[in-house]
Amino acid sequence: MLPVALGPDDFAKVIREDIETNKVLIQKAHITLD
Amino acid sequence: MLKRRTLLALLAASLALVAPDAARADAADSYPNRSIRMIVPYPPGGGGDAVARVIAPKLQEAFGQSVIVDNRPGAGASIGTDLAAKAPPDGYTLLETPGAALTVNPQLMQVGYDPVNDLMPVNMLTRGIQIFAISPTVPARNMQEFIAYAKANPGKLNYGSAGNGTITQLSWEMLKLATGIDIVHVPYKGSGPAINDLLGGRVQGVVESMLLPYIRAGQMRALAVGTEQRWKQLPDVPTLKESGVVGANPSAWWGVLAPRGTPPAIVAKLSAVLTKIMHDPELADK
Repeated sequence: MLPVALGPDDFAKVIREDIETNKVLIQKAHITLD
Repeated sequence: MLKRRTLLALLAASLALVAPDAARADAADSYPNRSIRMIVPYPPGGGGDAVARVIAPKLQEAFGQSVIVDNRPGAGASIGTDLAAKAPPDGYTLLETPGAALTVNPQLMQVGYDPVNDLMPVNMLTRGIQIFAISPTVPARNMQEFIAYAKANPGKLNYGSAGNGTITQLSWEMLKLATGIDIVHVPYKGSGPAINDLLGGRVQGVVESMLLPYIRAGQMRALAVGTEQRWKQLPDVPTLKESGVVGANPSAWWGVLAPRGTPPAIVAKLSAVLTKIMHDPELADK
């Protein structure tokens, strides 16, 4: 593992950014639950 | 008399305003005074479970209270995540999860929680080293040979993921997109069962962080790591970029969250202790 130990505010920022990034990746890779 | 009444009313109002803050401060000062449940929304054996089992004893040692790892797998981690989001916000139920439960599967399926509004981030513990690994029965020694073999055998290889809507699925699907290979997705209820089925020969590929013992034992072959630099624990394994693959390494991490409404002083206390734990140099070698 690569320990990072980000506190609440920085962690919240990563979550928000990853939601947006993964939204694009999911669309590009055509990932569905079918 | 009026002045005295006014004064008393003002005093009572002041106390009413101060009392909740004082109560919250007291709650943080005495926290924790009983055992803490750490929900992991995956079964034993995968990365999220492994991280929880490394930090739980250290948290227990720091707080002098039991920290119980509670595996609640299913539905791409949404069952355990939902349970944690709806738990009493008192600091005694925590969620230790990989990012996908918050950043991938709510975009693919109906879940009972809002990943931003129903949970409070406490500490992002670690980033994952995504290792693409295959069964030694596949005749490929590196990523380029694997891609060539998969292209020569479209639809005949499969990979096991930790479930629909997980980073492990997203990683393989991004690899497929980047390289044009056609391999079949087999979703499990966590990486542990997927790893077991790779060892049993039922799937040919997995991607996970906690594969070191299997790779060292020759039970799996590491093709590439999804980090910018090579990992010191596997210095001979190239990165995806070195293997000629670009854009197949989504952000992977594990973190601890608490139900929304948990007192900020408790969140701050937990985060400070977790930061101290994660700075222990021995953890980097796990």
